[in-house]
Amino acid sequence: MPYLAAVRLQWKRLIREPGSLADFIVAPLLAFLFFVILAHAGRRDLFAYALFAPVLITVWSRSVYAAGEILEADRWTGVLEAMLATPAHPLVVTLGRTTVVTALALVALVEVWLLAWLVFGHTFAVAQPALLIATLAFTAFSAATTGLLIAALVLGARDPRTFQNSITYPFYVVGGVLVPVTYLPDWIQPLSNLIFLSWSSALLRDSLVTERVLDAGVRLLAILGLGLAALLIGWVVADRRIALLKRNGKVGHA
Amino acid sequence: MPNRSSLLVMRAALRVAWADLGAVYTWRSWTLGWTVRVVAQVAFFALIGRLLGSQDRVVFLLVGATALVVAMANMNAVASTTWERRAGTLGLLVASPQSPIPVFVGRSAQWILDGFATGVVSLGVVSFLLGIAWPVESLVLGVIVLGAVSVGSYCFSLFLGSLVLRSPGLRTVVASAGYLSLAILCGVVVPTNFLPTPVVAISLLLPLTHGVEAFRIALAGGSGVALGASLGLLAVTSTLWLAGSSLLFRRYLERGRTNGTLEFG
Repeated sequence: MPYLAAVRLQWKRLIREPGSLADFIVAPLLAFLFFVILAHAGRRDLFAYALFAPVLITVWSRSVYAAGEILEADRWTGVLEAMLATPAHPLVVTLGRTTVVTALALVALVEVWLLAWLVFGHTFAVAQPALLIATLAFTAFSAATTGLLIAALVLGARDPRTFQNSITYPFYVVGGVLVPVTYLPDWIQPLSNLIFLSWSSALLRDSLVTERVLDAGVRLLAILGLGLAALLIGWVVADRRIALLKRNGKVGHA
Repeated sequence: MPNRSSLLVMRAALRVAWADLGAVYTWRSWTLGWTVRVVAQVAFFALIGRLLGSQDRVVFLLVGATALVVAMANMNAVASTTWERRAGTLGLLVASPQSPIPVFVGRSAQWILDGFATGVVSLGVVSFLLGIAWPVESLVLGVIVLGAVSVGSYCFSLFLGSLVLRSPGLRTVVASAGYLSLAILCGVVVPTNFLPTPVVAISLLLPLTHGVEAFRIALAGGSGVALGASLGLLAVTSTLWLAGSSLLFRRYLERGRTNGTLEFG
């Protein structure tokens, strides 16, 4: 199956390119920053916020950069032309690759968990383990499809870095990855609902500390729904971009 | 003292730096891409103060995060130092009768301006959004100190660049880990005295530690003596890192000339 073949391909590429794993050095450093701020303020009760924030930042960062540049990088290296000539649908292949790139980001959770224990002597008890796992799985799905959407938007763009830079920290703020959206101005909060990060961050924190999580099913569906929306929009945009490149003879980077 | 030739070389290198800045950024990409990102980053950290329910923490984190983005912008010098290798000019630098140091120091100097502008915009926008008003004299002094912070951060980044010249593939990792390490060590998010004593000793060697302290003093309208002392330490530590980078640049080129290992790309 093309999807699984793409997964295997991307996995092998990641192993051969250690520089692409810089996020896994950044994640524990970010985590340390957040933990030390909270520890200095005497607010270890908020450590759950610092646990998931670096993970979600890593997930999103890999969607934006590592996954987001897959199609454009293939175009630069001449691989896109060959891929379009194969019988496999290029977007199925791309989705397989973005899945690996973004799912791997969840490894950061292990790093951050260990950091909290080894450096700050803090361990976490999970109130709702099934909900935690489900939220992580749905988050990984939405991150992969968001990666596809970003890859589609970056493909053939004149200035992809401007776009990519503008959707990192603004989304961490609006997505409430560390500071919940309730601390933001009222006019921003409806925007937060359109970003899966805000649903994921709140649900992950609740699954850790709350015995009875309100509306868990609805919130999981929100993460899934936003992921499906990203998939649909990404698919349409990528199809159109590729069709345009074919018409203009710019599939290769001549 | 630099001679006239060195100054001419420096001027040429600064022209390269300015051209590189224009190649990396357009006005649109700098404002809509980079500045949006850094303003959001400063706001991200400042908002943690609201989570903690403390306006003092909001201000503390705002000031620290602003200095951090200045240092982060200067971390681009790590990558731009390796551009000299990618351009294939190292052999020419070795063959030239002129010292290569003015070239390396000057060709990445655009990031000092970028860092300063980034810091000023971030401080202004995030302070406005969070309703923080600074006294005019403190703000003017703070902006001046930000310039010094940018120069000091550049000297440290140039040192990292001189290390990465040997392994350009590590430039992204070194730059990312570098600025986050500065955030941990330099009093950006917590006072340095909260860290273990051996770590504090390391932080005192870093220009940003003294830069952040000077920036805090300036914005708080603090003592001129304390501000002068912090700026003095910033100047001393910056000079040491600059000297260190010069030594490493020289050593790398001499070794490359001796054993024929100067490579392109």
